[in-house]
Amino acid sequence: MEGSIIKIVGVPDFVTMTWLMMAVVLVFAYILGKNLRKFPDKVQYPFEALTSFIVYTLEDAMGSYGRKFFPLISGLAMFILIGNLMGLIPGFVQPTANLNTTLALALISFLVYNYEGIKKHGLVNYLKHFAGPIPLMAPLMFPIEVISHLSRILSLSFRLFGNMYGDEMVVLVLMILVPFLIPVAGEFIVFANSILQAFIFCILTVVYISSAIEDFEEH
Amino acid sequence: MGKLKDYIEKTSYMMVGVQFALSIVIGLAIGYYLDKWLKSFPLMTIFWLLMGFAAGLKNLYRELKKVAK
Repeated sequence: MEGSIIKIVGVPDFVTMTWLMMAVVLVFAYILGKNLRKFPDKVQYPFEALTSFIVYTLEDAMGSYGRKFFPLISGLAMFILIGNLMGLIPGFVQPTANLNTTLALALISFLVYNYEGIKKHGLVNYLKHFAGPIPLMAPLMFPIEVISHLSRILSLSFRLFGNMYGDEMVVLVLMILVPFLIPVAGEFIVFANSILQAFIFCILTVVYISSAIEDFEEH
Repeated sequence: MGKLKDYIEKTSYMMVGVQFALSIVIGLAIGYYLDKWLKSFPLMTIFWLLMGFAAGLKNLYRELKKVAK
């Protein structure tokens, strides 16, 4: 946990871990994609379940339009999930326990939902929605909306980073205090929380996209 | 799958608390750096701090309206 066992000079630990994770996941995905069966076996079934869960979630939130975002959401889900679970392997660090990684993920989500909003409503209408219904209040409302949108980036990135970093610290401290059997409980927290955080990140991205493309009548 | 939709909507209520705090922090940060740039120390910081507070309240109001519906 304290620093990774694989080191490349001049490259930070979390970047090395990200590359390693990408290599493993891509090779695994390639092999899995080559050997698809009509009746799924033990390896294929979890991924089919995950796929259909993401598709159902997207269709629930956005209708048939949501299928377009399947690559994005499933990519985010796999990246965050595997990245979080990497902390369970001794000698590996989590790429997501670093603010740079989570900030990059949050920026992707932010750019995508703003792009979709602008594409759906047009730039002028999208910005007009920021200004609010009353023209007189517009100079006041515009910065307020901008702040509340910026806080979305921060809350997405800080939640993931804080949870993962905090979990790691809990296990480390438990290891110092009681180096027998108790840290297993800490590892369980890492396991459960990594799944939960991946789920929350993806769901929030879906919520943001769907709130950006929905009609602005009721505000 | 109507149940999932409710769940997705309720997930966004979890954000309210964090976003309330973060809006204030972002407002403060914007004001602080504007002050550094314009060299007008207390004015912009105070104004943008209040702006951030208002952003948090507006967010809260929007979510509450969604709950009350």
